[in-house]
Amino acid sequence: MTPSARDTILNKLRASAQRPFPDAPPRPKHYHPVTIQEDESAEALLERFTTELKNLKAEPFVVDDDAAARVQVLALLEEHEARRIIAWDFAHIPVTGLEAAIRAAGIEILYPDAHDDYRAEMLAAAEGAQVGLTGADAAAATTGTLIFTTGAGKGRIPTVLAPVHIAIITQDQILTRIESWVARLRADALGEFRSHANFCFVSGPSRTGDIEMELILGVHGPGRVQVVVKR
Amino acid sequence: MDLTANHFNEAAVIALDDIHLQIALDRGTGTADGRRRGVMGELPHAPALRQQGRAARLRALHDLPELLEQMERNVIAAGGHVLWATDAAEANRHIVEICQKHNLKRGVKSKSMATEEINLHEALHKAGIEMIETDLGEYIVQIDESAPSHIVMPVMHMTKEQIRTLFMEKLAMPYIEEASGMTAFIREHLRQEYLNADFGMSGGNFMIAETGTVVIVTNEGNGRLSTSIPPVHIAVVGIEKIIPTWEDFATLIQLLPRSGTGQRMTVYVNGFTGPARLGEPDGPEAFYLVLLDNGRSNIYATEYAESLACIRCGACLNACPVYQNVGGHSYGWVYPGPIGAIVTPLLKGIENAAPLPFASSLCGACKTACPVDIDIPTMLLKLRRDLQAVQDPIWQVSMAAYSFGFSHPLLYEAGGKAASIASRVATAAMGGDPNEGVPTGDLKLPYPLSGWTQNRDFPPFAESSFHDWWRQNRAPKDKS
Repeated sequence: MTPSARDTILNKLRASAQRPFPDAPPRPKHYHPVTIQEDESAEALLERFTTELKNLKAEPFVVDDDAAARVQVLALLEEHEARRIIAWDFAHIPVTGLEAAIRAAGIEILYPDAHDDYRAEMLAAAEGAQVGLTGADAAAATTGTLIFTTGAGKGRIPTVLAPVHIAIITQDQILTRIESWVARLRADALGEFRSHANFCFVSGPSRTGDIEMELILGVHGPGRVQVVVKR
Repeated sequence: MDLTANHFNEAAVIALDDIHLQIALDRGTGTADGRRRGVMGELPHAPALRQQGRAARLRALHDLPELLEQMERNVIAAGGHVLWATDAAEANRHIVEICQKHNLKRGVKSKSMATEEINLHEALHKAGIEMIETDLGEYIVQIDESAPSHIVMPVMHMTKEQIRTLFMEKLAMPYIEEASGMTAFIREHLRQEYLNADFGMSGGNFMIAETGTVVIVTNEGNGRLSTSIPPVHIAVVGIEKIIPTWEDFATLIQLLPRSGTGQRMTVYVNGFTGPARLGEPDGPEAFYLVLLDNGRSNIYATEYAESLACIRCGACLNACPVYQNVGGHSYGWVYPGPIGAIVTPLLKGIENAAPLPFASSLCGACKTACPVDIDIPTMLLKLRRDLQAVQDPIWQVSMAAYSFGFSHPLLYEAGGKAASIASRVATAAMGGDPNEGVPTGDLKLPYPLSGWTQNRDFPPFAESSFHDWWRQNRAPKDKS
């Protein structure tokens, strides 16, 4: 019997008398974080996060409470002339009464389910939406990054399919940096992380520079990313 | 992609005369390298970060077989499938079989160098399976029926005019002046492909062993669409792309875009841990990981193992004065530039890529630009040495004789004596004083040594060797 590809590869890697890089430095106790942020107070992080979003050509909106968040989101939906939006389950969007307010404005809300029996019709309807509306798991201030993981009611499609993505987070979801989120995963030995099929860091709108290095937004993903931060 | 690396010199000469290419290369490499310097330069601890990233890669390579087993366990635990491929043919066979099993006819693909490496398009085409590239640059390459010329910027070699003409000819695009309008046209054009696709294909920038997570990075969002909507996701990843921990990942995922495109983060960093879980509204119902060897294990235990630490950012291409002038196609395979000049000979056989180790001025800009500090110049030198052994039989025989002589003391001494006597006889025959040598120009050694004596004295070897002198003057005289 011929050995499997798996055995062939692993045996070959193990065949040599000495592994490469026996003197590779051991795993450090403390890693240098990549980005620099000295003031980690909530206000400083909000300031850094919104600055980085603007640098990425995303649009931050800071509001004080649920009522202001509803007004802000409705104003944005009006700006985009939204008739239909694709959304996360509103249980994962941290603004009370938002779903009712959007419906009251006559806007259709679709919760796209790609595993539905009527998948093709569902996707065609989702493609017709003007806006994707979601919450987020966390945000990283120093890179202007929104962090998403998947779960029931928290799909991938609303973050990427429509030409506009509106994400709503609370100020306390803003972490300092990517490494801060990783530290949070580590705190429970990556246990919770394993329950999600997907994670995604989104830093600003979809972009390309493939044609003569010219920056163009919205090539496949959303060309506009609007982030509503509730204090 | 066909291997034409042995025609580097001819291709380079043509490239140097191509004014459109020269303009495109100047703009592309100049912009990318400048941006990289900007975002790396803003970090005062950049040197420490590079070493942190390097250490992560070297640790991973040291533990490669164990990490691959851990990755496999974790992908399976998450409900995914893992297939191993020793070479390109086996990888393609796996992918075609997956397509047949699930009856997959139409795929959408995110940019991946591994799938270029295995010529996946050709294999799928033969099996009657359609697959569409969705990265704008890769899509341009696909409809142009050409090949990418850069690891992260596939059509760096093309001008806007050339791309516009292509779209108008192949896609019946009306004349659109601006690149933004052309891009919007392609967005519409590819929209339905995502929705109708049976499967999504991707490569992998990293595999995080401790959770069994495959990570891809894209700026356009095509990677996220290709892997979120279709019911099956197949990822093909080189075995060396593995890293052990999330902390290592946090460092490397930020060094990659800073070095590659000069961004602080890539727009979409997208990670997959198996297929969609129960209750998740989208994502693939089946997830396959194809672990690709294709020559990597041959490099593993050699002095070129460091080349496996590469994270494919493309910084060495942009920084290289040779790449900047000859462009990616001259290198004649999937991986161009300084890292390609190492990887292509190693993966495809040095005799099939003989000019590549010489396609470098050894200036070291590649090593300086590399986010994990890979010593590319030294490996290029070693490849030149290896190539000499492969190509030049006389050199090979004489080096064997040299090493035999120098490792046998008696032979070495005899050789020294013979040289001493022969040089004296030769000098005397030329009419010179055997103890003084021959004045310049008098002694003409035969070809190929004539070049040496043309402008140089040829002093005879000393009468007594150093060995003899040592025995007479320094050797312990304890026998008396």
